[in-house]
This record gives sequence, structure tokens and C-alpha cells, in this order.
Amino acid sequence: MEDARLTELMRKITPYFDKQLSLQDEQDFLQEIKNHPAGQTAFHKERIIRDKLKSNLYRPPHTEMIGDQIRNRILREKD
Amino acid sequence: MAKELSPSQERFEKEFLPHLEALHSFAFHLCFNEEDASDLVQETFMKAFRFIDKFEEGTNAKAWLFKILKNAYINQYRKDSRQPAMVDYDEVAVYSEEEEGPSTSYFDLREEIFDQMMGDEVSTALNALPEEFRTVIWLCDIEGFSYEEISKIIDIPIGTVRSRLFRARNMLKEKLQDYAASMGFKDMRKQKREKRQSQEEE
Repeated sequence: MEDARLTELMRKITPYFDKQLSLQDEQDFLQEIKNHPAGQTAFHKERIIRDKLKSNLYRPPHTEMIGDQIRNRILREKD
Repeated sequence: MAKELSPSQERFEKEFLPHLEALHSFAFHLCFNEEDASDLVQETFMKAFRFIDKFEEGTNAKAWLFKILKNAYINQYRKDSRQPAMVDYDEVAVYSEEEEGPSTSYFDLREEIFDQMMGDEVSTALNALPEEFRTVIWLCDIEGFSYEEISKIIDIPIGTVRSRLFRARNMLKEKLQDYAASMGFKDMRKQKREKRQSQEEE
């Protein structure tokens, strides 16, 4: 019984982070996971790994400069 | 004296330019080249400005820009690059969501492996994925688009977004686990799983 509950919670972790749960399901899920230590551990781990994925990715430099180039091109196009 | 902004320019500054960094990073991870990424982003924003009247205020500007960028990339940059012919993996592989489960999580990865990374390993692993898979991971896991938005941006059905994401995450996890193994991490769970399976077979 407990195993089935945990499996069900684990199954909902990715849909939660992917924003695939309805508002009600999301609230129920968060409430239930709060009371389930093993589920909570997996939930936090998923969050941490997703954050680490994002923060470890290479971001190209000079974005500001591109913004200025776009603004200049718009001005030229308008004139 | 600075020129006064037209209403279109004001709207452009307010609604579109805040997404510049996200578009630039996505463009780079499509082209793998800073010059091409810069051109692609500029082209995207110029198109968005020219068609600003077609954009409905209050709708999702970021998704609209990503769609323009993806189309511009397909029309221009992909055809110029010397990439091998694209394979539609979704047609080649027959998926059964019931068998595979509806989703795949990252939590079975070891978070300590990220602490050992010097910075480029995640990018390298992601960039090694075929473009179709790299794109859905980027749009979903990095930019936080919903399946429905991704489906519109890359013009594929929602079911295909789901199955492609499933495969993409598994591929990425495999690459990160290979990296972890090369760093000396041992996946004890895999050994335990194999041991359990062999015991069951006996």
C-alpha cells in the first residue's frame, strides 16, 4: 500500500515540474509529498538537479551588444 | 538629444527585448557558433519588429519569438550547415508510453556529479544530442515552456513533445552518467538492479 503511494507520488514529480498537472492536482500533490519523506527527498533532488542543469549550461557572451545592434537596425530601418 | 521612441519601439522594448538573453542562448545551442547565433537572434528580433502589429498584446511574446527563431534557423542556418540528413526518430521508433511510463525524472541522477563539473560538461552532453532532442530539453527544462507551447514553437503534436522529451532526458542522463563514471562515480543502484535481476532469474 505504502509502496503504491510512493510510486504514484514519484510518477507525478516530472509532470509537476513540467507544469502538466492541473491546479487542483498540483495542490494535492504538494500537500501529499509534504507528508511523505521518501517522496519529498526525490522531489527536492529533482528540483536541485534541474537547477544545476540550468546553471551549468554555457551562455554566450555579448548579449547586451546584440541588443544595441538590434536597436540601431530598427532606428536605421525607421529612417 | 535622444530620439523619442515610437509606440512600436516602446512595445518592442517592453515586451520583446527582455527575452533577448534566452533567445541568444537558445540560438547558440542550435548553431554552436557565436557569429551565427548573433545573426540569427538579430534576424529574429527584426522580423518580430516588422510584424509587431500581428502580435496580440498580452499573449506569450517569448513563445512567439522562439517560434520565429526556430523557423529562421530551419530556413536559413540548418540548410547551410553540413549536417547529415535529419532522421525523424519519432517515426523510426515506435513508442509505447504505457511501457516507458509517461515521463522520466532526473532524480535518479547523483547530484554530486554536478559539483565535480568544471562548467562545460552539461553543455557538452546536451550538445551531443541530436537537434530534435536538444531542442525539447532546452525549451522545457531550461526555458520552462509547457508541452503545449513547445508543440506550437516546433510544430509537432503534444504527444510527440512528450515522447521526444522522454527519450531526450534518458539520452542526456546516459551521457551525464558516462561522465560521472569517468570521474570515478560508481552507480551502485545499477549493480544492485542487475544482482536482483540475476537472483530472480535463478
